[in-house]
Amino acid sequence: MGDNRIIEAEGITYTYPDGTLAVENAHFYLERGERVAIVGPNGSGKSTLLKILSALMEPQEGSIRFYGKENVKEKELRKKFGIILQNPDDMLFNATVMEDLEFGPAQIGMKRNEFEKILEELDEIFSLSPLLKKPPFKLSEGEKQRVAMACALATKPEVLFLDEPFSALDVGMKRKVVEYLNKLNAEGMAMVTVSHELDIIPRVADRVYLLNRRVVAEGKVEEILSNDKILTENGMEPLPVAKIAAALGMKDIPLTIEEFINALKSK
Amino acid sequence: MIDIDKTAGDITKAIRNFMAAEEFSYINGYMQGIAAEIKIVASVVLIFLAISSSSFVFPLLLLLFSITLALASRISLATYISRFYIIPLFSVIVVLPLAFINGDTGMYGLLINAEGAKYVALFTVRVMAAVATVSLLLFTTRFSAILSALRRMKFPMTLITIMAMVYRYLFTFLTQLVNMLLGRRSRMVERRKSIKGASAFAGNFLSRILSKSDAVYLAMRARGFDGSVKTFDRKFEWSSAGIIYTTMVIAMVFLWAITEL
Ligand SMILES: Nc1ncnc2c1ncn2[C@@H]1O[C@H](COP(=O)(O)OP(=O)(O)O)[C@@H](O)[C@H]1O
Ligand SMILES: [Mg+2]
Repeated sequence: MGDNRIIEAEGITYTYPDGTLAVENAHFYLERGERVAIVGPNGSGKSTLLKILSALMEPQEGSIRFYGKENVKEKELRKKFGIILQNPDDMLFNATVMEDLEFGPAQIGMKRNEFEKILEELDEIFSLSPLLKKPPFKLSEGEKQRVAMACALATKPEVLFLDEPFSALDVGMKRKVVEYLNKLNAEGMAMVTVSHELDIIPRVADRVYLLNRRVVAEGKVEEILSNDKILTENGMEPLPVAKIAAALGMKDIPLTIEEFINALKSK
Repeated sequence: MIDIDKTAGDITKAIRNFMAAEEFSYINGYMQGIAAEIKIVASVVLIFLAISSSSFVFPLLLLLFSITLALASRISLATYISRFYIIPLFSVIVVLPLAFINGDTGMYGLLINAEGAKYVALFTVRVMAAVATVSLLLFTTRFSAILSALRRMKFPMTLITIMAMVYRYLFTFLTQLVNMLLGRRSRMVERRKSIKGASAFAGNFLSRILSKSDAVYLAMRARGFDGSVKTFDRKFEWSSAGIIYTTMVIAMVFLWAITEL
């Protein structure tokens, strides 16, 4: 409890109008500056839960508190939350990339010169300059994802929600973006990353929820990602390094190649 | 038989290109340096004069005026002209029968109503001049600049937001349509051309649009939309380009008066 909790959700259940039960009795919390991931197989309700946690949808059952309060004005939350939805086509609905980038900051009443400063910084990371004048539909998938991410970051959010954000990025861009997100995190931004792939998780999260309509496991990244059994039971493919390490009988299961090499060297 | 793929594909392409014209608004050209308010007011005036013309002189002059300004604004002439040779085509189809009803003048074995023919020609020229004027505005002004100008001009907020929404949804629908057409094409060996296929496609498209519009609404809310679209305010400023343009438009009004009155 306490002042540190940005989000606190209990007993969240969400059923779509067509009767699909997407999330059942899920709980979640997020503290200031935390890096949390929600993992699970396709169709396990991750995107649905993320929309609920970012106050875009209301659950039919359960309670959700933002900043310790039951009723927070949505407007207040929008100034603090940045959201990257799974489908960048949904995110980019303006005539040009530039207008899409301006949209969020303009809605929350940011000053133009402040926006321009942020844009300069985002341009360095996401290489936006050559894209600014283009209509979004002319962009490649990777470019769309970059722009969508920049759009969410343009409001300088206190919490960033990311739904499968790296799926279309190439290796170099992925590394650069992850580095930047972690820099923002070090400066105080909290992150909630949703992913059905585990490889990126150790680099963007410290705590993990394993979702399969219900929360089937939660804990530190090392605990959950090295738990071969629970991952496999819930339709997830454990990380190759973790598998090899387990087969070699290592005690502390490494989650990245670097950790693996270090563990081997120290033996 | 209807070739739904081709028809929908053509329409989609045309509309998407129309929207993509906004790319030109970033070029450093003549019209781009003029405040949106001036261009909006001038365009409304010029269009009104064009469609109320009873002679060919003013509409043709306006057409020339627009093309010259388009060139000065470094707009690709091919793109610009494609705008008003396609659109008037529809208008011609609508009024063309007038040229043949009660025909009295023989020409190539057809009986043509001279008055009707003149009307069709005049109608077309007027539409072309009007479309050329609107296109010039849309080519050289960012949509958000138009919205913010309308707001400063005390346009009703609701109307502005509706405009902004329609514009955005249109984009998403078109993207959706293109994706569906591509999906169909890649799955089909032989193109079927049938009413049944067309209606199934339309139904599917409609249901997708509905779920898509939910998604866009969600995305807009995610970025702070609360029922009224806001844009960065642009200060209204008279530039030398704006003063020259205003002078030219006033001259055009005089020309209209001379040719019409
Ligand atoms: N708009 C919707 N209408 C009906 N069912 C939906 C809708 N969106 C998602 N679902 C269903 O809800 C379940 C969870 O979906 P989702 O949250 O997108 O899962 P994930 O992001 O983990 O892949 C799936 O079975 C999906 O088919
Ligand atoms: Mg998802």
